[in-house]
Amino acid sequence: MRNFPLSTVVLLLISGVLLPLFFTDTAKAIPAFARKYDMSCTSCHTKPPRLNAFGEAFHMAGYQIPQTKEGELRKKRQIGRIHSEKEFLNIFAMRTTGNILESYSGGKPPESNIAFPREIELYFAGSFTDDISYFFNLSNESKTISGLENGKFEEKAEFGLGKEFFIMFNLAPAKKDMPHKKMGRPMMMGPMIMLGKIDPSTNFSYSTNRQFIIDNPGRVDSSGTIQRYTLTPYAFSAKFFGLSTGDGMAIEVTKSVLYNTPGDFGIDTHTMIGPFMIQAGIMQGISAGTSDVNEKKDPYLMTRMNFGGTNYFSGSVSGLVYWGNDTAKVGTELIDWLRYGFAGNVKYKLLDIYGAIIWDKISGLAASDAAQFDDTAMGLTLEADLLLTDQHLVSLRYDHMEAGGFNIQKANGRVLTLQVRKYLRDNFALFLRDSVNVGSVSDNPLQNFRNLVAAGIDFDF
Amino acid sequence: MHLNKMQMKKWGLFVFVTLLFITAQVGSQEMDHSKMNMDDTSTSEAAPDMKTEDNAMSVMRGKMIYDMSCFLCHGKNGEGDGPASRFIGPYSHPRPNRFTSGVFKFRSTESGELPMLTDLMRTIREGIPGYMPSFRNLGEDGIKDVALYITEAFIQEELPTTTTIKYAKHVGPYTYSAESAWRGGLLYKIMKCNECHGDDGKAGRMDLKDDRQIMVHPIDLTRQETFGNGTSHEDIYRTIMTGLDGTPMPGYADSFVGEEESAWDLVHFILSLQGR
Repeated sequence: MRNFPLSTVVLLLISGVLLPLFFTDTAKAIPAFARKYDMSCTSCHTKPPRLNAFGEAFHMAGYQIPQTKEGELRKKRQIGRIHSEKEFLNIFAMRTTGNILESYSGGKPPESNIAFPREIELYFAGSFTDDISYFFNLSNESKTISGLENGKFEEKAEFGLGKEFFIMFNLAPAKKDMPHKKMGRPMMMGPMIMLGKIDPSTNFSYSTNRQFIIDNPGRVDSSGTIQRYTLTPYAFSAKFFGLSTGDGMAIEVTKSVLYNTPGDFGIDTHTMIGPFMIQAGIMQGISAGTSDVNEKKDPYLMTRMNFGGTNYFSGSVSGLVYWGNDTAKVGTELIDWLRYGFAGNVKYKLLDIYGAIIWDKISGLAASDAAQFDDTAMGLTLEADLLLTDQHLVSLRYDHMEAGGFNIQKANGRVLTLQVRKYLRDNFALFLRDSVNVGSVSDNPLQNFRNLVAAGIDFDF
Repeated sequence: MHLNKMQMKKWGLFVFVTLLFITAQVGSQEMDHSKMNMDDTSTSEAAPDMKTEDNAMSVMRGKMIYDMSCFLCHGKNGEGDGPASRFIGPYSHPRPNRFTSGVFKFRSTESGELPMLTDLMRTIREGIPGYMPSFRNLGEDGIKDVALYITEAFIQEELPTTTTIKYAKHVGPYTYSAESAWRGGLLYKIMKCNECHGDDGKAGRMDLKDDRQIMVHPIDLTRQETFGNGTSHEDIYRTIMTGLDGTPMPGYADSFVGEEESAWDLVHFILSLQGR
């Protein structure tokens, strides 16, 4: 990665991003998973990757059109109850996203970078039978921050099993007879069971894995000291300064963890009964390090209520409780971690507003740490997306963190981000974002910038 | 990602449990072949002969399916205002149909008339490429249930059971041939199809709106995947004769009175544009 003067970056921004906005062809649909169902991307997505109400129902039904068993058996081979795709491209998708240009100012040191899009992901998703679905993900991140021992960090590339990698079972009884056998009873979907590397928040009213405003990578210096944290939705982040995993690897304050993990080993079950969803599960724990060495597991419970259904309106509210059982360390002491909070989502026509507020509380601190460690934290993330035209999506997000952790290290964060996406095609977007630190600017890695301007791409196939 | 021994053991267990579950699932139940291997053509046009009491039960079943799936686009009141509807056609046609309006694009009846029940069933079964998935795996009973529910709850009128449109046989000189396609090419210009669809069939006009004042683009006749009303010879014939109500595409049945067979020429010309 090379450093460039800001003026160069601005010039490249104008020539590379802004000009194409005015000289591009009309968007045309090139479906990804939509290939299988002969649907446009926007049948399920506001724009990928965020789901609209139909996409949520499709996801909830185990990647199948609700009430139809496997939606497109015409395109599959069948051996008994097992079916497989005739066309590989009907189960395969790819996404690459990331900044091409980014420029930080107002912090130390200011920097401007040209970067290769940070993340490439390959997806394989579909169903083996009417009631067994799969979702496999391989990913390559060219730059991610990983914790080391003694509170140090490193920047590195990662390749391997991606954020999610699971099998989903639909345990609905006698599914082929539904809904005929359910007359007079509340309408029900599931129970569904996800087993593998999962992100349970995918069913939350604000899911971690469906972000228009992508995480912006942080910065670590050559000594392993973190200069600037990764910019993520603060509601989902770890929020505590001075935590490490069970095997002693430092946890980045802004890393999405616990219920909002980008993918951790566990088992999840969720059921929809009328407008209500109940979700419960057990996770291995913090995924920041290589393992949860104490072998204890983290249970969670989430409930969600959907509403709307007419006049282009829908929404949901969710409540969450997650118990991190000896899931991390402060110093050498294993601690318990309670996470709880709420999320909400309202969609009206082409406006999509959503947010989450999450509180965290740590217990089990060593007596020597208790006096100097703030054991509570709070994160708030609010976002609004508006599809201005078929080709332009505007997003505004506010992140607020009342951090916890060692008093000598901790600081609070407040960031406001505005992003404009231009869809050259349904599956190919250019974006330009500006994230402003609306709180204090200091040397603290949570506050070490005033302004971030970034431009990048989001391409799905 | 590097897996340590502990994770390797967990992955092994995960794969084992998964395979065990799949095996158990496969062994414990048999496929309902009768439902999965539906004959599209043999059942699709068969007129329903439902008794009244059966209809009531069928409508109730249809409502359950509708309220789980269809409402997401068509809205709980059939107004085409479901929570996902605006994303399908954010700023252009098509939008999910408003059943309460009594206007239906896909019919075998004359322009301005309601569709037959079999028309509704065909759309539910086949879907609309690009916009509405096929619901064929509801089975014919489930499809009929939904169609009856839509009729009773939203259309609230008796649907026609016959049509005055004459569907000429696709025989003799009106089977596909280069000569027939050439004649169809002449008809294409005489009937001014090119004014909307372009001389080359690639849809030139950008100034059209549907009856909801939403921008609508004439379909590209060279790309069969854009044909919402089906791609078979019969589907295209039906579309020409009945038009697509609610859009600028009129029905041409009146233009072919007494010469319905010649509409096949136009069908063949359109097919020739696609290299079929």
